[in-house]
Formats: sequence, structure tokens, C-alpha cells
Amino acid sequence: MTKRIDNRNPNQMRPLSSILGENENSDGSVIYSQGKTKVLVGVHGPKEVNTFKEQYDKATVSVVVKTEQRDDLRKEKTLEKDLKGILEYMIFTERSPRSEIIITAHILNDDGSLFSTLVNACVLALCDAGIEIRSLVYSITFLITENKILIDPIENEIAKISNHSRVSLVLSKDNEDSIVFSKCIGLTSLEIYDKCLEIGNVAKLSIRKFMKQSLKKNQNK
Amino acid sequence: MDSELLGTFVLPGEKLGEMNTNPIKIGNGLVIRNGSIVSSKCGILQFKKPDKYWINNNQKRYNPIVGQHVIGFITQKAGTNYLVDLGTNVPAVLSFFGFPGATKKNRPQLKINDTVYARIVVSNGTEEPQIVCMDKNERASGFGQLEGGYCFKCSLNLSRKFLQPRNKILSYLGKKLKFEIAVGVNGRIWINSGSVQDTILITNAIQKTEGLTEKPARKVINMLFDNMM
Repeated sequence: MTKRIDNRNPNQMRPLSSILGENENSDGSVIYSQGKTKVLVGVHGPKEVNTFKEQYDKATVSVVVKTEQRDDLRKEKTLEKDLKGILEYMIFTERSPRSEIIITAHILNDDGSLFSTLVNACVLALCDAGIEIRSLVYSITFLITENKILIDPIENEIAKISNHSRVSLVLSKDNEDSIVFSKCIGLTSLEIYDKCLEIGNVAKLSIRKFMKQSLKKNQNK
Repeated sequence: MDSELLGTFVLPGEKLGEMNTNPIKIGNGLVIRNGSIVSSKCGILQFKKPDKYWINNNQKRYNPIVGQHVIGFITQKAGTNYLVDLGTNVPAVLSFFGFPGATKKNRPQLKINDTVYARIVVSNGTEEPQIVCMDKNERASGFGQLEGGYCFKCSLNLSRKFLQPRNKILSYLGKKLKFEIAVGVNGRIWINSGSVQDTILITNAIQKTEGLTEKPARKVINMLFDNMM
């Protein structure tokens, strides 16, 4: 297997790290990074909600995403919308009706695979806050060139390859392996998509192991 | 219920057991989905005889449960009720009649921003929680307004630890200082002592010794005492 720019194998993810519960203002928080991509996510809730957002049978989920330079508001809004859909699947909103759960994400550094980093960070922050969750989700991004599938790409890799496409998958481990959310940028064939799914289903287990380790260590604090 | 998982750390969404004919009680962090018992929070699965299961986790936000004792701040007067902030979803309702010996002519004299120690009587998911400042026999027994003093927030696990009968940190502090303390399970602790210095010392002692065992906790408290003198 040919090594990548940062000496990784094609199927190897970057090192993951997380610091839980540092932000005292929020009910749950995490500073999470995959390699050099770093995000800070804080969770508030369930708390009081305005009447126009109130839902009688479930909690309202609001997401706010802020980039470093605040120069691309469209990107922020797209991320907010995608995250909201995933989190509404994940959070057990029926357990706290007529309330609001606010998730705030600050992007501290973007070095590729931003979407996956945000999703994984939100999962950790929600677990830290003690909000009831239906099932955990794990997110992986793939970079696809002519003949290779590279997992968890960095900015350098994406910039150097001109003709590429990307697939971001959010997977869960419910009863069977299921896809919660999937986003493709550029053209991908079905075979390559299936291959990404296959690699993703293996990679999500190591993400889950990392999450379990971090949350268990945080529990003993 | 899977007995191998008792005492181990579980993640949300894990299937823990099937519903069968044995009746069991499920508590914090467990839900029933599709006929099986699933965890909804991460934490350690606990069991108390004969039939109670729950997940022990630490969080800051409180979910009101009937019968628990809480500390609240009065935020508003509405009709014949006070609206009290417990740190929950919506403010709780404290009726004027929720005090011992209260009648239409004999009203309580509380104002906005007063601190009260109360007991939750009604809490379901749909309406506001209701609290009263008296026990089941309609006597005060420690409930009611907490005058003076200083109130601060902490995590739910810490407040539960201080409600246990022989808390080591409190007894150690009690040997050296005189103070009054009220603990609400909604993560709030109220302290009243002779001087501001003592209050600050006790607050720091409680907050800095979270999660420590007895010997390191004593070291920390001794260090705080030395720095104060």
C-alpha cells in the first residue's frame, strides 16, 4: 500500500483526542480533534423554549455552527441544517417535550473532514451532558480518486488532487449496520460507494471504542 | 436483564435485556423500546435488590422527580403562586397554600430572588412541576425560606454525595468551623456561616474535593485553611 502525504495507510484514520466537560457554562461540552481538525461543541438543555419554536410532544433541537473567520455563512448554515437532521435522529426528543436543546459548535481549526469531526464531537458532548440518546452515530469521510479510497482526508490531500469526489457517511450500530446520513460531493459510482460503506462499517468500531474510553475516563472524575 | 453488564460502563443505545414475566423497575437512563430494555445515557449500570435497575451518570441539569428536596429561587409572583427556578426545563409553581398554616388571609411574605428549600409534589412530562414548602404532615421541618447565606451550583452527583448520612468532608469541616448547610438534589448547595471568609472556605472545600477520596480531600482542605490564615 502506498503511503499518503502524512504517512498514513489508505485505511487509517488520524489520531483522535477529546477533552470532556471543560466548559463550565454548558451542561456538556467537548474539545474534539481528528488530527489537526479541532472543534469545540457545547450543549445546553433541555431548557425553556420560545412558544413559536415549542413542540408539544418533543424537544426542539437548535444547532449553531461558527467557523474561525465567519467569512462563509452559507457553509455554516449548511452544516447547521445537516447536523440538525442527524441530531434529531439521535436525541430521544420525546423524553422532554416542550423544551429546547441548543448545540453550539465552534470550529477551531479546519484541516479536512470537518463534517465528520463535527458529528463525532456532537455525540461526545451530548453524552457528557446526560441528554437521553436513542443510538450513537459515528461519522467518516472518504476521499475518492481514480483508483483509491482514502479515509479521513486532510486539506493537503484534497488540494493536491484535482479530479476527486468525497463521501461523508454517518453510520449507526443499531440492530444492523445502518446509514443515518450520507453526503456525496462529486461523482461516485455505486461500487465505490459500497466499498466506502464496507470500510466505514469497520472504522466506526474504532471510533466507538475511542468514545467509550473517553466517556468512561470522564465518568470517574 | 443481562447480569454480566451490571457494574460495567454502558453507552447509550445498548440493548441490555428483554422484557419477560419478572416485573422490574427501571430508573434513570433506561427506556423500553420494542419490548427490550435499552440504555439512553452513558454510565454504570446499577442494581438494587429486589428489582431496581438504573444507570449512574453525572450531569449538571436536573430532571424533577416527585418527592425530592430541591433549592429554588423565586422569579415571579403570578396570581396566588410563586414561580420558582429549579434549573429545570420550565419554572416550578409554588402555591401560596404550600406553606404550613397558610390560609387566604395568612399569606407567605416571600419576595423575588428569595431562596427556598422545597419538596416536589407534582412532576410529569407535560405540565410545570409543583413544589411545596412543607412535609407530608403539613409541618415546616426545615422547608421554607433560606435567609442570608450563599447559594452555588454543582453537579448532581456532588449534591447526592452530600446528602448521604455520614459525609466525611462535612464532618471534617464541622470540626473546625461552624456553619449551616442545605443541599438540593437539583445541584444547588446553600451555606450560611458566621463570616464571609468561612463561607468562601467551605464553598471552595466542597467544589475542589469533588471526586477525591478521603485522604487527598483532607490535604486539599488543609491547604485551603493554610492559605486563608
